[in-house]
This record gives sequence, structure tokens and C-alpha cells, in this order.
Amino acid sequence: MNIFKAACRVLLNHKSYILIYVVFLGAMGVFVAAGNSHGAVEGTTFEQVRASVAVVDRDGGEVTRGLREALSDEVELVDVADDERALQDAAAQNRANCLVIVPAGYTDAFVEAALAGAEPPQLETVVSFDDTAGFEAENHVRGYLSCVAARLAVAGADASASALVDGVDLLAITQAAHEDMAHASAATYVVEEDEALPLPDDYLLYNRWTVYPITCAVGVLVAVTMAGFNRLDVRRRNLSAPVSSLSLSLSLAAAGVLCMLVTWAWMAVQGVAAFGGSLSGVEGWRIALCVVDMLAYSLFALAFGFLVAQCGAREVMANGVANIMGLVLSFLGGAWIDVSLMGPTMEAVGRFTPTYWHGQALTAIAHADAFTWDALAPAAGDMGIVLLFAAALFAVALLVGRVRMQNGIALSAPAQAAQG
Amino acid sequence: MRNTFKYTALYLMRDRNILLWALAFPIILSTLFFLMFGGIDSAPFTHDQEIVVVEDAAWQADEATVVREVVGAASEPGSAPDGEGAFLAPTYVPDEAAAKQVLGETDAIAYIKVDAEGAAEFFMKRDPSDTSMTTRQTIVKTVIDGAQRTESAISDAVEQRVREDLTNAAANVGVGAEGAATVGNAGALASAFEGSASGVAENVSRETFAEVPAGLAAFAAPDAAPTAAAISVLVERALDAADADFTTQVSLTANAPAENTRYYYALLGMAALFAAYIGVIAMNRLGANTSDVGARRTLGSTSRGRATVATFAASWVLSFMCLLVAYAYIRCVLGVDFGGRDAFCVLALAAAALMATSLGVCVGAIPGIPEAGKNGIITGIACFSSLFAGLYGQACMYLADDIAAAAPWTQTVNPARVISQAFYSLYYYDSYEPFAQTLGALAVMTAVFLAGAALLARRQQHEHL
Repeated sequence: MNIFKAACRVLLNHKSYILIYVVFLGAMGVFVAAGNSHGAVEGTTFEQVRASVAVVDRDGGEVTRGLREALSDEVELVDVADDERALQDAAAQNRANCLVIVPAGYTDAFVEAALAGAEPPQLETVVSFDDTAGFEAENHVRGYLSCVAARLAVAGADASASALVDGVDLLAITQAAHEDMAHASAATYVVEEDEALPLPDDYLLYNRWTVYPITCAVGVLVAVTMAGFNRLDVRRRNLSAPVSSLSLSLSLAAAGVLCMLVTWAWMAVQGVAAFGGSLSGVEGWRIALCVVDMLAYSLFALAFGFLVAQCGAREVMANGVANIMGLVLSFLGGAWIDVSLMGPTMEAVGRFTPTYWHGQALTAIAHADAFTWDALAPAAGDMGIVLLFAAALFAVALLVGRVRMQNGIALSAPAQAAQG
Repeated sequence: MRNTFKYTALYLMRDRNILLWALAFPIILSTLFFLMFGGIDSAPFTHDQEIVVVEDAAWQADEATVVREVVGAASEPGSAPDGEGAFLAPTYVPDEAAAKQVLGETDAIAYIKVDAEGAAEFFMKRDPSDTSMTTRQTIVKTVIDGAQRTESAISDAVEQRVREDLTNAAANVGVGAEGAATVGNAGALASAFEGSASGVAENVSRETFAEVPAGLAAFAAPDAAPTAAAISVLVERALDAADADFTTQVSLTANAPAENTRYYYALLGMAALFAAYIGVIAMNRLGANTSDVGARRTLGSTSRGRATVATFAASWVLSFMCLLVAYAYIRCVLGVDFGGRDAFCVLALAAAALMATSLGVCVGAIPGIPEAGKNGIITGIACFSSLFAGLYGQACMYLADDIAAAAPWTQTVNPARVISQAFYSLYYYDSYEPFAQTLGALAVMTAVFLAGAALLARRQQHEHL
């Protein structure tokens, strides 16, 4: 018990890591997930993805006004200041998937050309790095302009252009083109009527995000606690004390498990509290299973911290290794960027990480039809794989510890905190 | 001072922790980025979108010409937005039951059928785990809707025009028996026209429109009213107008927008901040009460000022070298595009290393905190700054951009964001002014951290020594 208490004191002496990884990075997970509304798809009725378009209107004419009006039904119109830096930033940061720059005098030139059956002036478009959304936005722009141009061309047939430019009812034509744009194919999902409500995206994203703080927090805290007891003098003293090796190891393991449980509980409660609104209406068992999935991953982080300690890493080294491992696992497992976007090779690599299976379990939980074994077997299998990763890493850690002990490294290497 | 510099650099280089943070970290993470983003760059979002088409009687009917020909044209090689490959990869099935089955068993994103009026109807596959699914479905729908809209516009415009011309013709020739019949049958004329005027998409054959019903001429007054040929001309004219190139793509930035490069820029920002460890360790080795080396050096003949300057210089050089190696690796081995302004990138790295070293020295000068605690502070600063520089994935990048747009001042006080913006400025802006501003911000930060370090380190008492 005394060893357990001492280990807990060592843990509490590293308040900065608790503050950074558990409190701060955990809160950041809430912040990021709550603020992420990009690309969220909800509901069972098909809703088109609305590309974002910024119309930079240097014309002020009827065609441009009609274009904005027609586009507003199809896309998200965003405002971008008409100065060079703002336009560059909008394109570079994908703040608008497509920028449409309407030059001064465009409407007059467009109407004149369309009535005369000539080639119309071109609008400049700037497509950001999301080619697909940019293509969609450009299609809408071209679609509207082709409707207006076709109507003007028909109106202008067999008549003098100058007479028509004055006589044409441009407002009626742009309104008619707007009505043309209202024609849309019916689209529905082919889904079962009674399909269960999936978990909200923000909560899922939060759960995926937590793998980074959990890896860092549990990994670093467990490693530094163990490292504290692995220091040469402390270890020699403990070995000569009337405490069995088993008792010493179990006490240290208990402290590590406590650290893991506290971190897990903090993240789990924070997630449920922060996303309580989104989770209303979601079955309790789904949320409980997500929390269990997080626990399975926390056990992996515990095994990872144990391995780092067994390798004899000092505090700074443990911090660095945990951070890098946290980042690598988060990315590879698709915690931050969808694995399906990375291509088959990286997806295959991702399968060798516990974070991938943690994410797969979350997806399986969200899609389970009911709280039955058949429906939840995929999720249970995924969580089982995470636990196997934890067991494998734990076994490796034991092996490393044994090898180091046999070689006398643990008792001879200056595994003390840096004092220079 | 030269010896101080030399031996400070030597013991810093022998510290494995420094190598881990300042050198291994950016190299490992950038390699990971490279492997991940390589797959994203080649993701075939708008190529060969698999759809299932119900090829029933309605699909074969004249009313479905537009949809039929759009799907056919979009399945031709070279029809994808970038001109490589086909846009659609349709599978034709005889009925809806087969379509549902194929949709469920393959990677198809939707099945399409047309109704009796020739309007397309989409039945989408729902797969929330595939984030690109809705985007791909939207874009296929957009293309087919676009063709139907243009067809609708042309049909409606020509019909209106024919009605007007018939009315005018009737008025001109007087309301005789023939004229009255003409006007009276305008609706029938338009209906007959509508039956033929379908298929107006960009890629749709115009042959359909050439087949204006021969019977139309019988409705019209021989001279004044539109004849079949005249209607055909109208349709041709409308098609030409609708087929024009309405837009041209231009670039406003010095280099083409690329989502992935910004992660490398943010990574260099984080790597620079982690290089601040070098400053922390160097400062610890300088303090009389923070390390044995420091105690010994305090008793040495070298003045504290000279030792501090030499230690700071060695830390900066080492930080700079680590960042330079990381940059060279990212630039040359991974082939990440920095806009071709390498000299300025190196300048940015030098400024970033200077700021990071100053930060490390400032944190290292805080009395009463052990070295591990100071490292924790640096970790906290690096993680916090990197979050708002957008390092941690797409959601984080969106969040960082949203915050920067809402409160631009935040990106001038965030060291990782400023460093990231320095590379961003060089890549995207033609002007060097924004880059100079980021260098200015780094200079101000350096000055603030150095001033903080001076205030913390001066006049320290070490009675307990």
C-alpha cells in the first residue's frame, strides 16, 4: 500500500502533464469536435452537399444579381472581401470552393453577345484545392448562365440587336432562368424505414480525437512513475527492502491502472457532458459501448506507457516518444483524417494500429441495428483487437524488462533524471 | 567565448532527447504525412463514379433522351472533369429490383430511373462511414440536373417565342380562318415541339433537334409564322448560346492551392517550438543552481555575459541546423512544394529557430522549476500553438482558419501559426510583404522572450550554494 501511495505521489508531482494532456488536450477535443461542422452528413433524406461559392461582384448588373439569387438555392454563398489578399486566402484555405469574379460591365456585354448569338464574355473562376466541390460550384454557375444565354438567344433571333438590347425584359429572363434552375431530380436514400439513429458526428469525432491525449497522458504518466521507481538508487533500496517483488510490481501496476482509469473517466464524462445535446435521443447502450471502446484503447495506452518505462526511458524521452506515438497513431488510425481518403496502402498500414480498430469499433457501434449480439459482434471484435494490441504490447514490455534485468542494464544504467 | 560555444554545442548534440525532439520528431511525422497524403492526392473522386441505370421502357422512350444521352456522354473516356478517364461508369439493369440488388452488392453510389415524363429519379446508397459518398452523389446529380435544366430553358424559350410569333403572325394577316386555327393550335404546336425538343445537355447530340415535326408547318401561315425550319434555327441558336464557354479558370495565388502542404508548414512550426528544448537545456546548464555544470561554470573565469551569449548562440545554431535538416528532408526527399523560394524559407527557419531558442531560454530561466517541469511547459506551449496552427487534422485546420478569420490578431501571437504563415506567405502570395510581416512578428516574439529571460535570470541569489 505504501508503494502504491508513493507511486500516486509521483504521479501527482507531474501536474504539468496532467494539465497539458488530460485537461487541456481533452478540452481541445471538445473544442475541435464541436466546431467541426464541415462535411457532416445527418438524417435519412438525401441532401446535396452544398459547395461554398463567393461571387465577387464588380458588375452590379441584373445577370450577376440573378446568378447570386439562383446560386443561393444550390450552394452556400460566402462573403469574401474584394481585395487581393482576401481572395488569395479564400482560395488557399478553401474558404470558398469556388470564387466567381464578375468584371465590371459584364451584364451589358453578356446580354449583347447572347442576343447577337455571339460568344459571351467569360467569368473568371478560381477553384480551391477541393476539386470536386469546385467542379460542382462551376457547374451551377455555367448552368444558370447557359439558361439565361439560351433564353436571350431565342429572344434575339431575327431582330436587330440594338433594338433588342433596349427592349428585352432582362428581369423576366433572369427570373425564368431561376425557375429553370429549380428543376431538380428527385433523390431519396434506399434505406430501411426503421434504421436506428446513428451516433452524432461531433461525439464520434471527439471519441476519435481522444486517442491522442489518452496515449500521451497515460503513456507519459505511467512511464515517468515507473521510471521514478526504476532509478538506480530507488531500485536498489526497494530490492533490499522487505517487500516482495510481486507486491512491488502489483502496487506499481495498481497506480498505473488508477492513472489510466482517471484519464479514461475524465475523457468519457467530458464527452458525454459536452455533447449531451447531440446525444439526446441516442440509445444509452450506444454511448456506453463508446465509453467501453475508449476504455479498451486506454488499456493499450497503459501497456504502451509500461513498455516505455521498461525500456528505461527518462522523462523527456518518455514525453517525446509518447507524443510522437500519439501523433502517429492518431493519423494512421484515421482519428484526424478519414482513412478512406488515404488510399488503400495507408489504409492497409492503418490496420496494424489499435487506433484504426478503435475507430472501426465506433463506426460499428453507430451502425448497429439493435442491442443484440449479432448486431454488436463487429464492434466487439474490433474492441477485442484493440485489447489484443494492448496484450501484445504488455508482453513485449515484460520481455524487454526481463532482458534488461538479465543483462543487468536496469541496475547499472544511469536511469536517473537529468541533472547534467 | 569560442570554447564556450564549442563545448556547449558539443554537449547539446550529445543529448539524445534533443535529437529526438528537434530532429527525429519532424522527420518521423513528415514521413507519415507524406505516406498519408500521397494516397489523398491520387484519390479518384470524380472518376468512374459507379451508378446503376434502370434500362426499362421509360429509359428507352423519347422523353428520356436528355438523361439517356447525358449518361452516355458522361461514360465516354475523357469525360471526367480533368479529362482523364470517364466521369460515370454505369451498369445497366432491366428493372428496379435488379438495380437495388446491384446497388447493394457493388460500390455503386446510386441507381437512376426515369419516369414517364423523362425526368431522372435518383435512389442513393447511404453510407455514413464513407465521407465522400454524398459529395460524389451530389456531383453526379448536379451534372444530370444541369442538362435537364438547360433543356427546360430551351424548350420553354422556344415555345414562348413560337407562341409570340404565331400571335403576331395571326395579328398581321388578320384573324382569318387559317390564322385563327394557327393561333388556336399554338398549344398543340408547342406540345408537338416539346416532344421533339429534348436533349440539350452540353454533350448531347443535336440530331434530336433537327427533327422538328414536319406537321408543324401546317399550323403556321406560310410566310409570316415560324416554319419547321425556323424553329430548328431557333433551337440551334439556343443550343449554341447554351454551349458557350461561360467561365475560365484562373489562379490568384502564386502557386496552386494545395491542402496538404499546410500540414507540413504547421509541422515545421511545431518542430521549431520543440527545438526550444535546446534553449531550456542550455539555460539549465548555465544556472548555478540548476545543474552541476552550471555551478562549475559559474565559478569559472568566463564572465556570465559572455557565457550566456555563447550558450545562446550555440543553442540557436543547433536549433537552426535541426530545422534545416528537417526542411531539407521535407523539401528534397519528400518533394513537398515550398513555392520555389528556398532562400526565404531558410531565412524563415533561422528566424523561427531564433524565436524558439529565446522561448527556451526564457522558460529555462524561470527559477524554482525543475528541468522536467520546464520541458512540460514547452510541450504545453507547442501542443497549444500547434492546435491553432491546424496541425492535428482537417477538423483542426478548419477550426484554426475560422479562428484566424474571426480574430486575425490570434495568428500573430501564436508562434506555431506565425511560422506556418511564413511558409504559407511564400507559397501563396506574390508579394513578399506578408512574409516580412511574419518575420517581424517572430522578431517581436524573440525580443519579448529575451527580455523575459533577462528579467528572470538577472540578479539571482544562490545563497544555498
